[in-house]
Amino acid sequence: MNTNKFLVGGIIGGIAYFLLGWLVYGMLLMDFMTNNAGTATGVMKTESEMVWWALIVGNLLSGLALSYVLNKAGVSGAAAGASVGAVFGLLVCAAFDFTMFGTSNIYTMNAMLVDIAASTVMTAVVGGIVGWYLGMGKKAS
Amino acid sequence: MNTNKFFVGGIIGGVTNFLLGWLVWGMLLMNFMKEHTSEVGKAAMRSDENMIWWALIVANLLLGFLLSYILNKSGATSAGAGASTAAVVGLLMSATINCFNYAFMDMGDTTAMAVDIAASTVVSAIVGGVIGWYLGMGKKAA
Repeated sequence: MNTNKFLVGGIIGGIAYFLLGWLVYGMLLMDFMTNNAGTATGVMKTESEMVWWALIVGNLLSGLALSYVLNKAGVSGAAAGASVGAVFGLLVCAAFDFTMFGTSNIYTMNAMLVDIAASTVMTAVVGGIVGWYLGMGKKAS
Repeated sequence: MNTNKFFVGGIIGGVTNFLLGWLVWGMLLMNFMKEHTSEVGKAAMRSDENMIWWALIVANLLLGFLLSYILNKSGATSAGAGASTAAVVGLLMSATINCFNYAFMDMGDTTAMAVDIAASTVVSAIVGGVIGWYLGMGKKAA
């Protein structure tokens, strides 16, 4: 695996995740997720309590995870990146959401299903961007 | 990608993940995690009798399918290759999820977060090793 491609692809993916996450979860789905929260109260932090370093590190790590998988799968194009990214996003998000749904009262099933759909689309888009980057060198050579 | 290998590998991985999860989080780390969970976090968790078991079973199978998909795509055909790839995936995924939870939710402290990431990495490596071993079986026989 090309370490340089992995790291740069991961940073590009992390930035794309951050911007898309802000758009999708911070704006488009904000009210829906609030209205479909579970019975647990006081769990979610307010905007002033949010831990920004953890949010930034989390986005970079998700970019690196996706870049690692795309590199390992030998992806070198936007379409291949998007399709592998969609499967990766679907399985990661669904596995985590079903675990949280089974063990906690943080959100309803509606919120879980919408989160899985949104995450799949987001990861497909980010996978397309990272895949496009990974293919750049190959086209040039 | 061999669809049959993917599905069987995913089911083997899901069952292994379920058993290891029960051992690691359900027994070994149970008290430690409780000590490092906030009061609102404890209140948010379902009691044993209110747990939704079908969701937990589905989640474990999905994790098995995730690792099987990645190992099939990466061409892993041995326990060693499966374990090393899955360890990196487990580390990055768990660290991502823990960072997001810490950023948005008042559930636990950074000690619980670090231990959860370490445990997830080890469990993923073992599950990846089992799937990788299975994926290599056919190739050795051929």
